Amino acid sequence: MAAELWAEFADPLLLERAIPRLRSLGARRFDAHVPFDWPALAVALGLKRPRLLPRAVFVAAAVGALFAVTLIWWTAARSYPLNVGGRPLDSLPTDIPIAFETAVLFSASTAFVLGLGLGGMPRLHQKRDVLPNFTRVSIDRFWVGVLDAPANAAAFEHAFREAGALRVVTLNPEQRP
Amino acid sequence: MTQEAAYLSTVPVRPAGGLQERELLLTAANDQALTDELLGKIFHPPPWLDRSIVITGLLSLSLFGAIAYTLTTGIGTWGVTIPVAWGFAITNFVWWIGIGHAGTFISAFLLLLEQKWRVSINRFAEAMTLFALMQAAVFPLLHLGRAWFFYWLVPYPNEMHIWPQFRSSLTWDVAAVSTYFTVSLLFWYFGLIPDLAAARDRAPERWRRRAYGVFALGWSGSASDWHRHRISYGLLAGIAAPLVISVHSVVSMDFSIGILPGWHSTIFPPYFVAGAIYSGFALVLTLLIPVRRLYRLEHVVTTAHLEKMAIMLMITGLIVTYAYGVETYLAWLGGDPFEMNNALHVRPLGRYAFLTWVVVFCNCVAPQSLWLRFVRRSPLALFVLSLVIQLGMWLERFVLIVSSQSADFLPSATHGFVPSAIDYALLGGTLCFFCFLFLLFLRFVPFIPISELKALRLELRRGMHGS
Amino acid sequence: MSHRHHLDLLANHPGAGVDPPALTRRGFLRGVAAGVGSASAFACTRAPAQKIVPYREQPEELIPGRPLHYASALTLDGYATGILVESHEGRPTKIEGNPSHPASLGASGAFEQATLMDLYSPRRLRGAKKNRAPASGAALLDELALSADPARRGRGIHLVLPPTSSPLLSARLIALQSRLPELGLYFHSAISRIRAWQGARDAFGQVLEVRPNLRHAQVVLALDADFLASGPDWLALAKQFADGRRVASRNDTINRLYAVTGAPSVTGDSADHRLALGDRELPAFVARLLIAVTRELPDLSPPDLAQRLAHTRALAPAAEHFLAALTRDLLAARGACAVLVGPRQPASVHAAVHALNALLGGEHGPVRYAPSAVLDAGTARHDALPELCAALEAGAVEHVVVCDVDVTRTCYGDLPLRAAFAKAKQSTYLGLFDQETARVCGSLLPALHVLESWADTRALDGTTSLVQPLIAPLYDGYDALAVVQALAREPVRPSHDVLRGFWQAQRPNDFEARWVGSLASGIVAESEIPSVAAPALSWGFIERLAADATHKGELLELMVHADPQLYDGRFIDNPWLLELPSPTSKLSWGNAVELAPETAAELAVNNGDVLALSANGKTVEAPALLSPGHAPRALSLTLGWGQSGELLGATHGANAFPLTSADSPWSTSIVCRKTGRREELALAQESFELGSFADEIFASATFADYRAGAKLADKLREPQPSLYTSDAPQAPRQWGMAIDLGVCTGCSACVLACQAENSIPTVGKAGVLKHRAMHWLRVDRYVTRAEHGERVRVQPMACQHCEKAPCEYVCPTAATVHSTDGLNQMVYNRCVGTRYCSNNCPYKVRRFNWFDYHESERSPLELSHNPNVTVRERGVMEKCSYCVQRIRAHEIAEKTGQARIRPLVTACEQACPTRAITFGDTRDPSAPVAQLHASERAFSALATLGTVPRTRYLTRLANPNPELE
Repeated sequence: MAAELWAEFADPLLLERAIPRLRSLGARRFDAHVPFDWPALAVALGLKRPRLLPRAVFVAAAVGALFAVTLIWWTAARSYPLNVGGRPLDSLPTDIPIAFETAVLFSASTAFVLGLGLGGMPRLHQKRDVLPNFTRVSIDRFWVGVLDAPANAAAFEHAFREAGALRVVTLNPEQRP
Repeated sequence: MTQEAAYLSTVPVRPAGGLQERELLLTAANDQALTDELLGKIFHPPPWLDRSIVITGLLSLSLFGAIAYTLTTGIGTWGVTIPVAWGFAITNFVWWIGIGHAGTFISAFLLLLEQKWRVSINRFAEAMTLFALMQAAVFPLLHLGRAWFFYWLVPYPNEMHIWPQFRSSLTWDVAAVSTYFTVSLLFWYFGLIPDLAAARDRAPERWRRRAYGVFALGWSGSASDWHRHRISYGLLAGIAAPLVISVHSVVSMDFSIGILPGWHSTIFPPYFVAGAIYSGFALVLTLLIPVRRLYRLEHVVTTAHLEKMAIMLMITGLIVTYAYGVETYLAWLGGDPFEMNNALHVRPLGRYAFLTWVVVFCNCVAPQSLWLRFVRRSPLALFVLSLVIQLGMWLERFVLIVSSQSADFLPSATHGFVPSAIDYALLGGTLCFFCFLFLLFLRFVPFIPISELKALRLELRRGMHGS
Repeated sequence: MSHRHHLDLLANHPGAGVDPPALTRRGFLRGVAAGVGSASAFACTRAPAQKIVPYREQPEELIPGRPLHYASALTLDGYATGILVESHEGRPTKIEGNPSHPASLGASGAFEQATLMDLYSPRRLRGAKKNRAPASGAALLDELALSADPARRGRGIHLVLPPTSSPLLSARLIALQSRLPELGLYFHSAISRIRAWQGARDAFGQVLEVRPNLRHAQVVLALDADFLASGPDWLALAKQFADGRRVASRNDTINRLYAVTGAPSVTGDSADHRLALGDRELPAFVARLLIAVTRELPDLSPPDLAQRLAHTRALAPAAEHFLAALTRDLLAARGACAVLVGPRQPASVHAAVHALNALLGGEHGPVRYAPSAVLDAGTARHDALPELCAALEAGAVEHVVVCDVDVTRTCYGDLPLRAAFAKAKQSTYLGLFDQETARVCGSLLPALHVLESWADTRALDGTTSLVQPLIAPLYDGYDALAVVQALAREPVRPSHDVLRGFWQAQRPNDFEARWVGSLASGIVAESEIPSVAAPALSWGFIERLAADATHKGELLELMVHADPQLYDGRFIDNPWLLELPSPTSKLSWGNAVELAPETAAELAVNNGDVLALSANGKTVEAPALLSPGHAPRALSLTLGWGQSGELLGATHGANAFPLTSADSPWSTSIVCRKTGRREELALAQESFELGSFADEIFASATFADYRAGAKLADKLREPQPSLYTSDAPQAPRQWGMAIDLGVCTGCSACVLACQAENSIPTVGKAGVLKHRAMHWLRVDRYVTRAEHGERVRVQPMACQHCEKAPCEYVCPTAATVHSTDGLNQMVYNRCVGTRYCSNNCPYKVRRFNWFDYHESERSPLELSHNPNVTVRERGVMEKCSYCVQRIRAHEIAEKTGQARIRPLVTACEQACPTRAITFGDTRDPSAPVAQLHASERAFSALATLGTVPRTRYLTRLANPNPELE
């Protein structure tokens, strides 16, 4: 199990520039902890656009709508048919509003749950809160880490310092949460 | 010219709010300063806040008093009667729901349209949505003759195989409103998590750190989390946008599926949605203008913001005006004697004629002042106007609901509606309760999205480097 | 009802309910029935001890839960109306007309229906009082006996009774008079018929009752005669009139009604032509009519009649025009026309009308005559209160005894009777309620309600009925018979025994059979007084007519009328009648000064402005109510209001009695001024204008056009296109209703019948002002101004049971749905009270329980509830169910093959005097309702909305005189 090498930056732009260098040194897997999100970061780290999330949300919507229509049809036309105002027992147009709302409810809940859940949230402690001065990650400190650093990663460390890291920390497997 | 100024001149300025982005840059020295300034608003609340919370809290008791009295004595304590079986309650319901819409509109639509200026006000507006929905939800429940059986509108399994009657727009309401509230809550909370994390990490006292820590759900700002966060937030926005449209459309169907002259109209859905956003923007202004003043946030919520909202007001206002015209015209065009009587006699000349014309003034005439630039940029003018419009929108719903019932088909069954003290207590009570909740929000929740502002800042800096 | 109420009741009057009934077989069965529920359990203990005989069914058949019907009779001012009382295990719950009784023919009016409320009224006297302190009734009767010392020949004893036709009581009174020759005996009624009797005496030399039969009358002229809504035989007259107006096909003929009335009236509303004339003009009109008619029939009348009536007051041109056309019409229909006049008019007018009928009707005309069934009819006894008052003021009264008539309140305003009563050494009042007279009398005897007592009584035509109790007295009480017995110093025996004895004496041989038969059928066979054609006329009345017809008066005229709700005020605490909207003004919980809009404009008066009316030194204040069609320069006010009742709390309306006087009891000249105050009027209907909706709601045509084959109300007959195809199953039977607007008079009897049948709560004045009255069935009234006076349209409006009901599809809980047999059902248990159904009901016939009305009801009123109808809780919607309880009971009876099945009728249909309402199976070709639905006159209200109502109306056919169109 490889160690992780983490570097702290004060400026997101410097962090951005550091990543290509490390990649040229052979680093492949990266992660970062940052106070806010900016598009270039994902690109630099080479994060893939998640495929599961949007599809799951779409499926949820479909299931929701289908559920609503089936429920209405079953209750009105099968379980307890009643003559209501001389109307047909079940007619699709009247199902539309509820079908739509149910679809929205299902899909939104899915987006919420997966949006957090896939990242392991909710959690009582944070990922890598062992990093020094980690509380500033939510304010103005930008950490980037090489997840597949070799045992002796002097070159990486040097590269980080070159890029203007305030400090570089090695997380050994046993230190990792 | 200084380096800063040089940057500014090169900032790619979108029509949608270059100005306020400049101001941000000029004020906040760095991320930390920005964070501390914005979190400071809740860590060190202004002295007037707690006092106002207590006062509004006490005033809200009138709401709960009125609710208790209604539940124990009966709907007879209200002014409603036959034929006017829906009075203040449903009016308030539609009004509050409508107000909610602006929140979702601002955050969802403007996000999808990449309107950056929304950033400073969206959380604020979303919170408003939630609290408005809470007020709205009171009325459809309370106006039931037997409110304790409200759950009969929900299809729960029961041995008698008795189900709700899904042809009724009231069951659609249940689905729409509950969905709307849930989704708004998720959307709002989802965007809030990173700032809760920031609050957790900056809070002076231990209990605050604990509390925010719990609500931050262990947010650690890892790049993959951020990435997923952006995608889901976009999805939620994409879902919420049509939801806004659907909810008030469904509310409008409470009337338009009825056969009552004045209710039975196919233009209601778009007409109601426009009206909803209209009144919603008005309320955002009503709340925003004092808050930005009291919290000295003029550099975050700038005149440019106000002006954009003023423009939104004007647009939606014109749509509403148009809808009034079409409604009346169609009634005349249709030639149905009852519709014509309602549109051409009962409303403009009948029992509630005065209110009808007040509505026209508040919603159609007054907002025309927004053609003038200095009105659009004057906080005071906008504040007053926003109040006028809210009054107008409330009365619009009142006239639409009450006058149509007061004289429908049989002349023998016509009768007016006179609100009772309880009716007023409920309306006033929800207003107080709304303010109470909103002040609590200002007291404990980061009401300006910090991380989004920081991202915005970076984007601008990048623009400078690009030059 | 709950045990709590039961216990209150016992607590309030020890002795009530503790005395057990003699254990007959029925008593035992009733005991068994006690298990049914506390309500019936309570009722059981109240079963009458004596043997009474159920109508049609034998007591052995008594089955708990199945109601029995007993025949009895109600008496108003001496004239009986036969009733059937529905009794649930000994608890009367509903009063219906007795089909075999000539004054009812199965129909019943508002007063009959509402009598039930008086029986159970919480305000009834509960025990004898002396000087307001509890006393023993027996002791008070002894005091009566004591004061009636035969040695003193009854001097100083004065007995006041309502007019009576009771054979038993009459016999006893006659006996009493022979025992106490100087006894002062008075018959008092505020709505006295004395003028009618005098008129008959003037014309015929003897007191006769007018006994018209309108079935074959072609032309009817009503001179201030509201024969379609009041009078001793109005139920029968209304039916005869309607039969003469009902058309099945285009070849039928119908009668024509002219009405001359001062204030709007039910008769005036149904008239083909109505002339608004005040009481001052009316005698002149009659005089002119007499002249015109006699001119055509010279040989039948004194030649100098014209000059003798020469100086009569001139009529307006419109009136003259009306008169001319009317005369021609009457003469054309000679032998088949009837002229009716109301009791308010002076004797001379009555005499003149007798003359007119003699001239126009002839031997076999519709109007016949017979001696009165009322004791001492036409004698001074019926108009002698001034003597009583004088005697009282002279201090010559030992003991004044008043039985069941609120004499001090209802006497003429110029008679200081109330004060005079204080001068009587002793005074005793026997009555149901603590009324004004009760408050001025020293001794108070609680009266028995008619449904608690044994008696006999006679109808206008003499038909005798036995009154049998439906329930043992709720509180110890006495009847007039007991008082008479006491005055005669006899031991006070139970009325039952006395009555039996009396009739046994009449018919010793076949008594038992006749007794049982009479009790069962409600009438004593062959007891009718045979009628005769008009005896020879004496024209002596002409001078008095001339005098009355020349009467002048510059001041405004106030016309006083009996009240459609309270009559003379005796129903002041009857919630049903208080809340029943007046058929013409739709006013409830009070009366008002009605005046024509033109007059109102002159006086600058609007609805609700309180007016001060002053006459002979007294002033009365009442709110104004504009009523189109009222006679100009005249105001009208109804009697009976302005007293404080328990339900009303403070007094409501104005008391008209002070303004009346002995010489002009029904109309006085008054000074009217505005007080500047305003009072809200509890109107059930706000707008009487049909406006532009007329042809969407109501269809009417002239009989001539109909005969000529004109198409009627196509717009409301064509089926509307619909997108919906209902796949719901349909039962073989499909219920429906038809209402013939051609014969509906708007008398509102159906409204109360519905209220009684379905235990509909009352909401009080505040509720009515908020428009929250609960009536499932209301009668809409629309007035449209035609060039010859107003045209009035009435339309009973209840749930139309639409096949495509707009109320159903908007209910979120399916609380209102359609039954397979076509009923629009209201499922109270499922209702959460969104009230959307009411909003979406174009007929606005749904009623909402804004409060828990039944919970606030005072015991023992809940005893009046129909046990087969759910008591609705707070927060649920309710509405007309087509009397579904009766439908289901009928179906069960059919299934179980019951021997005698009562015909299936709804409560409103059953009460309707003109049989305007028909209910039944629309799928059964033989059913009347199916034929009416198929009729070319049938239409649906608001048909263009596509609601497909199951209640269809029949086009109103007016029969105007072409000369007057």
